[in-house]
Amino acid sequence: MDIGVDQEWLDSILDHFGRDPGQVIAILHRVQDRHRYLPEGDLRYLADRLSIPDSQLFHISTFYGAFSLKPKGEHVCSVCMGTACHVRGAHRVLEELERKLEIKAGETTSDGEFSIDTVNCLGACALGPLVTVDGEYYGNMTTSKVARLLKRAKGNGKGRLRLEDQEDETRPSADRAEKVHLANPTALSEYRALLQAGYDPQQPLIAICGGTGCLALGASSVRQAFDEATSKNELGIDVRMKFTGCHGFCERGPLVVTHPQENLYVGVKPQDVAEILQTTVQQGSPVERLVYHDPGTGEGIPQETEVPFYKHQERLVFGMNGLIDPTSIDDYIRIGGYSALARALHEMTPEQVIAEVTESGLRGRGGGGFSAGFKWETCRNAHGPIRYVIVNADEGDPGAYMDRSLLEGNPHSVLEGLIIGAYAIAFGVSKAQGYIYVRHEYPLAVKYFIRAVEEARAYGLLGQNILGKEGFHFDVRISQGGGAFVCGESSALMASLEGKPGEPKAKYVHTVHKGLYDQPSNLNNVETWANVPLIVGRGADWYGGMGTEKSKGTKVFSLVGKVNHTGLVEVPMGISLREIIFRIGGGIRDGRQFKAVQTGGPSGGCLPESHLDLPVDFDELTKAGSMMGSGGMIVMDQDTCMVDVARYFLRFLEGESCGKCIPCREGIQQILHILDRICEGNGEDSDLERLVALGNAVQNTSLCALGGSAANPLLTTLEYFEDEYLAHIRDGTCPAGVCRDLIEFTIIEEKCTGCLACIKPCPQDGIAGELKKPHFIDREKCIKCGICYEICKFDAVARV
Amino acid sequence: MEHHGTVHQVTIDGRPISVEDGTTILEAAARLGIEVPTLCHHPALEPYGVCRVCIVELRKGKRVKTVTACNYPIQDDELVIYTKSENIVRDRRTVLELLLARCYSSPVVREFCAKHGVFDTDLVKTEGELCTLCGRCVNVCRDLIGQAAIGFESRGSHRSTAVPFGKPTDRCIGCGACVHVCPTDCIKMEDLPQDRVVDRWMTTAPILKCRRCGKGFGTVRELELLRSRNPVVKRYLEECPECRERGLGESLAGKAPASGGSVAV
Repeated sequence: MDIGVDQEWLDSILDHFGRDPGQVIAILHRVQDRHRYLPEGDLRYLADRLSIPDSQLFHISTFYGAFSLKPKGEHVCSVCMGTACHVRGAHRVLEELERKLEIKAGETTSDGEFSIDTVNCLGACALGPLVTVDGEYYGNMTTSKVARLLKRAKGNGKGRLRLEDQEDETRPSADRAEKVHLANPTALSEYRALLQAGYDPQQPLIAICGGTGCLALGASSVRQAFDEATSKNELGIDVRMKFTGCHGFCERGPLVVTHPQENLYVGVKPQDVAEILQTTVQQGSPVERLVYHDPGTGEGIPQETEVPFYKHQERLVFGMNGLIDPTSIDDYIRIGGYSALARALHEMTPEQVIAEVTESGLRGRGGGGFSAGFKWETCRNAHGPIRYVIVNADEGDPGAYMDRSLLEGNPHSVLEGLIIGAYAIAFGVSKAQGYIYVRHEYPLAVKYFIRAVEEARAYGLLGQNILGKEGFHFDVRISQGGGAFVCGESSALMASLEGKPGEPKAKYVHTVHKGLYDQPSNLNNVETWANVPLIVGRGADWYGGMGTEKSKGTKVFSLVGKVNHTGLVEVPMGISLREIIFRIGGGIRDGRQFKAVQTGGPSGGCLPESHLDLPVDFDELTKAGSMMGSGGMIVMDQDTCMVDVARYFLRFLEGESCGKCIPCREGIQQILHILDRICEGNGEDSDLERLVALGNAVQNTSLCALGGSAANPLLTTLEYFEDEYLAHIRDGTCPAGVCRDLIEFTIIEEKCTGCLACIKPCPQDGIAGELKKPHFIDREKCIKCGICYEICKFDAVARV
Repeated sequence: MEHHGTVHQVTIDGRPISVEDGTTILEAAARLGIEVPTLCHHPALEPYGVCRVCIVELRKGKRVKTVTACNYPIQDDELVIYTKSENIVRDRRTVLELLLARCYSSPVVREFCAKHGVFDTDLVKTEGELCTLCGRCVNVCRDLIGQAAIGFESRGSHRSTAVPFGKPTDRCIGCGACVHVCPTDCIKMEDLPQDRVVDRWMTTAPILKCRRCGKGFGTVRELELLRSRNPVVKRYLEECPECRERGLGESLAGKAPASGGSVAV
């Protein structure tokens, strides 16, 4: 039976969350964090205290992927199965982990030391394949690194950072909060002037990217090295140091930018710090060896703005990330933050704000592309005593992490947009309450947003009579997801906010009329909200000047997969896919051939070379069978099998479907049966017709948008890459060399140098050979794990 | 469904009808005598809309979409609805095939699918599954009985109906409402001499015996629940309906006090 129930502790957690049944997911996270699973006794106690039926809490506990009813190991290895990691070989890493620990994903070793979990995208796509152990990130994983990883995890001991400890770090210091209270717009501008006066732009500043990607690559130790070096003050110069939000160029992290020179240094290590301080900060010259070098010409480019990755972008929403410390409201105010809010509250009526947003042409960045202004207006005109304004930060698309980086890099811009929205939607007609629903897989984003909210509250930017606007009261609650992709769907998200399983409902009555707790609710995603201060601050005309006729402004994409420069890019609407992939992204890695680009996440489609000149535009992408989605852009090359990609997305959606309606639950399973058959070489010509019929039915008849778009990857690959399906079916071959049942591994004698490197790592002892003589693979023993292929430095292992 | 008094003119399969605001397409079609197949729908329950068998084509100006008849409230004029258009017949057929593949072992499901023209499927069939996950049992237990003894477990292809933690629960009073509403007869209930047994929910609920004649009727848990909810005198509930009637007759004849006294039900 269970361990004893610690009622005192559970009561303290219940109190912490105000005994609010809507916070049940957050409460379960605490219990899972403490016990490494959800003990039955704890759940029964919580159900009783929260007045939730046992059956409902049991459903919640088994619905959300983050929870387990069985104990997890002391060290939890989470393998990211996001798209970017998948196309870079995440399954090989997972299999190696499974072999080394002798357990399968989802299981725990018998000694209770290790568990393996798979996670649908950790949002650090530039680092794929990615594994986290006890919350620490290990990027660019290979099978040969797995053993070291496990050894290191063991050595780390029981060093898990508990959730409670993490939250304590986010409390802003009380003394500052007491001093500043922004009672009206004048107080805000006076305070800003004060901050600006105390800031000398010529004073040397080292901005270290503190985004998840750079942190995973070692930004913390770089920061520490800078701190140590400057504390001795050997240079005699007062240098400021700052951890900023994500700069986007995650591929080359840790990134460091020096001001006022604006030199960008890539891949910085602690031992580089002294040279940067001496050469750049003291003497004003760039450190040549650390600057970005153009892979084509070999030319070094010291200026951040001249690096091609940045040069062709239009960074509005993301622009401030590199300049500010995301944990400092003062930084945000200093560069003009909250002036759009002041303008909205004191110079505009709610109707005028809505008109401005409508005129700007802003469309929802979360996938739907619905007019934000129109949505706001409908919500304002709906009936109800309260209006909920909600930030959708449940960025579940595998291969996308824009929202994460915005919340981690500039949380106040999202918050300011939300407060403006609350004013426009509710002021004068009803009360308003804000919510943000964030993925729990994004702990740093949660932490920074909590801090932003607390700072804003302390400054009087949340609460009663905000910025002196009589009668405008507004505050924000933070809710965390439980690991369910479907919760990005609006009705499912709202069910989850109410503390229920995240199952969508029919939306014949829209959530703007009857949403959260059946009240008018306005949901927009992170990026949409972050655009609002720009629009209100600079005007609809300015904003509408960018983009295409029906898609205005900019869009942030996470450009990942087999492209040279992976990272986050912000581009004006209307730019072509080709420009993004080849000019900004620097083309395909390792001189391979482009095959397809997948936009819009699992609900999007795969577009071939012939569609590369399509402009980035909501309607154009939809016409081509794909979609803008939230902005994932995954580049695939000749080594990617399109049948396998379709199968990957469908398998993802099978696991993420809520299972409520028949077409989504049963249809996806049946599609997978057929795709499995084809990948195993047992397909038939008639399967293709069957797939189209199933795909169409799932698309047309599913209850929500998850099912409604689930067939897109299947239908677009069938449309654009039918020959690849036929090669599997008729010729029994996988042209990309991915589908295991259709390939053999073999060593090309002429290329093999006899280096022995592949022999030991082979888990089957299936490679024989002597030093400096060609090796051989024993086909009887070979399980086609691909380790030898990955390890060989001479391309001597072939997949045929 | 709420009706707000406004009346809308719509057309179903070419036949005009005026309906009050909020009427579902299913209700409107029924009034015209047009049968739309349903599975998860039950008149006593809020529409759940998960089996997708009742899909119809909805045209609103130039827009064409597929909606479920059971829960689509008519709120506009000039909606044109087709229950058997080519697209609908094709997609409904696929949905029925998916249903049949899941519950191929269920005679009820096979009969249902055959009635609507689907006799077999080449999709991968699941052996032994009788439950379509229509949700009627879970919804009746929560919304009408107010017990929420049973619920769902997990998600996606792992979704199933379940008692919490896979263990017997006192909240199941053995009322049999779930048995009654299940469209595929996959919940079995049996009265043994002392206990009522519902296998699927692992329920063994002691039978309530009539205070007078000793005949079993209902379960003790039902009695306790009713008592806790209604200010009905205890004795009334302790007698079976026949004895209650007899008691009432006896009291009218002056032989005994009425069982229930002033019964407030």
